[in-house]
Amino acid sequence: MKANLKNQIKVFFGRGILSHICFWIIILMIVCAVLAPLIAPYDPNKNDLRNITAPASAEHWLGTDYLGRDVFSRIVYGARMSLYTSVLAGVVSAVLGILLGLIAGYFGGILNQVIMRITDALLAIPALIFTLVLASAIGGGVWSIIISIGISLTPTYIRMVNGQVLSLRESDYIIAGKLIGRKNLAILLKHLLPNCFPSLIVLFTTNLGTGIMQEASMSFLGVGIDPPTATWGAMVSDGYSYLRSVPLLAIVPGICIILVVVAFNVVGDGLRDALDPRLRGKL
Amino acid sequence: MGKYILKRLGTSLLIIFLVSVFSFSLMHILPGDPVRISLGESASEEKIQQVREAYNLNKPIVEQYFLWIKGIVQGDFGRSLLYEEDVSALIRAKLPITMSIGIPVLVIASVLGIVFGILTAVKRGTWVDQIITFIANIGIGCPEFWIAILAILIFGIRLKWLPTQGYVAPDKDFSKYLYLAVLPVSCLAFRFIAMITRQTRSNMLDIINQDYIRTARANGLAERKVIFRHALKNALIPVITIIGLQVRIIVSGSVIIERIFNIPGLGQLLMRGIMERDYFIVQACVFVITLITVGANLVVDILYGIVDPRVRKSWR
Repeated sequence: MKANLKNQIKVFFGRGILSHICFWIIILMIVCAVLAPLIAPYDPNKNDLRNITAPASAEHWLGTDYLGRDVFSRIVYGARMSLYTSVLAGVVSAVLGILLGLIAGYFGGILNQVIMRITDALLAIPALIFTLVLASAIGGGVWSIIISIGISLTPTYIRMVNGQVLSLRESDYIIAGKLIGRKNLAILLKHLLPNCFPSLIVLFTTNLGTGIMQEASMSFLGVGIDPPTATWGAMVSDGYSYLRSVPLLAIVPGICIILVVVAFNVVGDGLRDALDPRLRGKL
Repeated sequence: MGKYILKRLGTSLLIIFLVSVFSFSLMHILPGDPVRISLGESASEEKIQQVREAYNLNKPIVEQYFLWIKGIVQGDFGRSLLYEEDVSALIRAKLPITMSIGIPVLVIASVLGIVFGILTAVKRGTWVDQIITFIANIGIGCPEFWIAILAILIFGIRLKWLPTQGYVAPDKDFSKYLYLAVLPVSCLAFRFIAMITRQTRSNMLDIINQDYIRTARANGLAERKVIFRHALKNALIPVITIIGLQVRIIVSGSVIIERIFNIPGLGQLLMRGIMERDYFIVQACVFVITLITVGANLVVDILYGIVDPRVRKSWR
């Protein structure tokens, strides 16, 4: 087991410099998110109207925005918000998706048909439109974003788990388990689920990137998280009005989004190579 | 083949039905009275009752749903709550605008994505491959709003080459349409090109390593022939599916692009509906948008079945 883990780490970091960089980008983001109050030099929501759109200086590393708020502090708190919403949305979607995927795949028949057709319908609605409409119907706030992004990501888990279970259901060890009188639930949880773990970890990681992108797009459009909470999407949107005079206000938070989303994608690819040798080298 | 098409058509109709139930129930199941919300706190009880009557909102929910569907079949999406506009007319006015941006994106991005994908696969490991793959990796993580703002900053504000706001219909003034549409179309296409490039590249690489390609090369076939006649055909089949699926991404992206470039399309209408909580507009927009994505996928699936007999079989 230990040698296996060592080997996996070797494969992960053996993919080149990009894996290293992206790994550290994510670590940095997590540190910023967890320790935001310690890292941020100012209160992210404190206005300072005598000092608006100040350029970068020793006091304000990235300058201040149109209300005199410290941009660097807002970036740090934005990392917290991005990670918070995307991780919770990830958990919501993983729990729902694994549950429905296992049930659909294992019991098959009508239940499978119903669940899979609803999944198809969910996938037919463009993700951003689905989350925008659902979040506004729920009524705004952080949880409306988490729930709507969570549900919009659920089909990815349902499809993946369902596919795995369908292919494993007829395998000898599951049939053997049934023959010795194991309960359905035990087979589902003890035998089928663990087989999905490597793919689940990979999917969860790449979905974090997708979640961050969706949250940013929603915040940019002004649906969901209410101002003055610092989110990268809202910062780009605010900065857009000042593009002529202070372009960095819109550009910097956008760069953060790209770095983090790309990092989660690359780390997801790396994890897939490391955890699932069968898929190595694909895409 | 006929049976395959029928089955796909059946699934598409089922999906459209499910989506119609979803977009309809949003307004009724969730807390809050849409009429009260859209008329505002100050509305009198009498006025609220009047509106409820006019919009059939006092009928049983199932009947309301069927009335709504009946209207749609006749091309009538009802009237908007706030301004009492005809929603069908709004959609008829906005949809062509969104299409006039989205269709060029689909075509340009598909062509460029496939070209870049082939190029990177054939030149695997060279600097051409590394640069394009790097940009594609970034492109996938790049939100439409950021690339659009960057483009406005560079080409609009600094270089002053291109306009950054507004829209003119192509049938009114084609050259002006082109001039205004360059930035929105390129920004919307950016992520799409990145995705198709990656997909095409990985498919090509898979296929180049297969036995029949090695056989073709061993037989002394020219590399150009190997790539274009044997590898490309098989590599492009999954790409077609991806292109069909990505219609969704273009529609999502157009909500953002329309906001930034001030294009009065379907995305703007949807955002207005969401912001003003005008559920009749939201319902109609979601329905029409899904109709487009499901229709696109249906066409792609049928093409797919024609091109690749294996797909027809797997669809029993």
